[in-house]
Amino acid sequence: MVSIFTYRDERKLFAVIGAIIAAALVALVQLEFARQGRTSPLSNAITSTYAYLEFALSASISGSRDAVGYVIALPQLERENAQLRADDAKLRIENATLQETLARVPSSEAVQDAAALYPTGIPALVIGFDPENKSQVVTVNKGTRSGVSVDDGVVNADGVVGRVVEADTLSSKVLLITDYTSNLPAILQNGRWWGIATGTLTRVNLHYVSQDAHLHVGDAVVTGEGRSFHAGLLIGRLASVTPMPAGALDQQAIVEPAVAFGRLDHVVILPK
Amino acid sequence: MLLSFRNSAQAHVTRLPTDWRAAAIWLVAAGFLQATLVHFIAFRNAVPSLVFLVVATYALRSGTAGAILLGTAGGLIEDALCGNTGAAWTIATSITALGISGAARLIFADSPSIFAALLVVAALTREGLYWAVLSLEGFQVGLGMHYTKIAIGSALYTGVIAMIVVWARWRFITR
Repeated sequence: MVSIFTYRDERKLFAVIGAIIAAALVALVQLEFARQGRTSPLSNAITSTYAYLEFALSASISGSRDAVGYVIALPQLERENAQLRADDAKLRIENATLQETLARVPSSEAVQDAAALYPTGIPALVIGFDPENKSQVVTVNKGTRSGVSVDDGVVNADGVVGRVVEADTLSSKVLLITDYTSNLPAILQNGRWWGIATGTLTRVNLHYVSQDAHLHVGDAVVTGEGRSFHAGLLIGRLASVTPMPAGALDQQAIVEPAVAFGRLDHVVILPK
Repeated sequence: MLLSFRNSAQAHVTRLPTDWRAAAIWLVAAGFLQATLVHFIAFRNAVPSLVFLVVATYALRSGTAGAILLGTAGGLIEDALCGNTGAAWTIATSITALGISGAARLIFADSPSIFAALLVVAALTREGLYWAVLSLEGFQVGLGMHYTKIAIGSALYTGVIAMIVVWARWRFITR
């Protein structure tokens, strides 16, 4: 019996080798651009494509959430509306229009407050989150085209949100101050003691504060002059003071951030 | 399944190739959901990885090359959407997809529970690779320790979602 020679296995091997080469090429491009602190063209293309989709969905969710929140927060108005609906059909339609208008007020107010506080800032909307939730990073709908650059500070009407770690054409990634890798120069407003504010996933840990400082729960912690922020922007307030062993050279405290990161939607980017 | 009756070789059974276009569409959709809505169903900061679910499903049924390529694409999408991770997800996901493709020759993932168990193990492996690559990229070593509970939670969450998806597919589509 004559055995038949086939190239089938060789072709499969070439396909696997080709796939490995392609994967390694992509990884190398990503690593090289990450090493240079730049956004790779691959990442930029993907991010720009997703930015449009994310913005559309985020706008829908934001509108729906405001509408639902309004209805829940004002049951009295809801009852009155029900009575009015029964009385007058015309008034019911007008009232529905009014509800929709009022539902947009909280978001508009937040934007106006932040814009008034930071007139040179770039208002932006949070449109996406870290896909795997492994870092406290959000995507906003303003990029280099709007004047955003890496290390720009990000705030809202309540206080400091984070800083830009990646600026793409149409969107940017913002590292929140609660991320483990976030470090900010911070000052205790009462006493002007310096420290470093580092994220702990849910809160901020203020450490390297001098032993001479008198820390009190409720004290305001603001930014020190740094790469991303000017001095004096509110980070949060001391929630607790961490007991330190005898002989320690510094003190630590846990800071409750001023910003509610769970319902973060509108922010202002502060160009350097 | 397709029976082959070639004259030159003994009759043998080959598997139909998985449609890579459908897998690509599922991958893009999973990436979109991952960056927008999945955040809202986080349980103690753990979220299921829909992107990895798509990659693993494809890797189990396709060849080695396909698994590597889809794993690379899935990881690239996550790196792009996450920012500042370099190629950590790309490398971790493509290597894990390669492992799943190899495991498919040893394990018959023919039930939701086996598939989910395989997925949980693979997801944990991927997490480990991710943190290892991040540390090589210059992030502080040991950063992943802070995320151990979240990583386990995410892997289990992904396994549960996988069981639900496989069951729903069997209940409403296949049956």
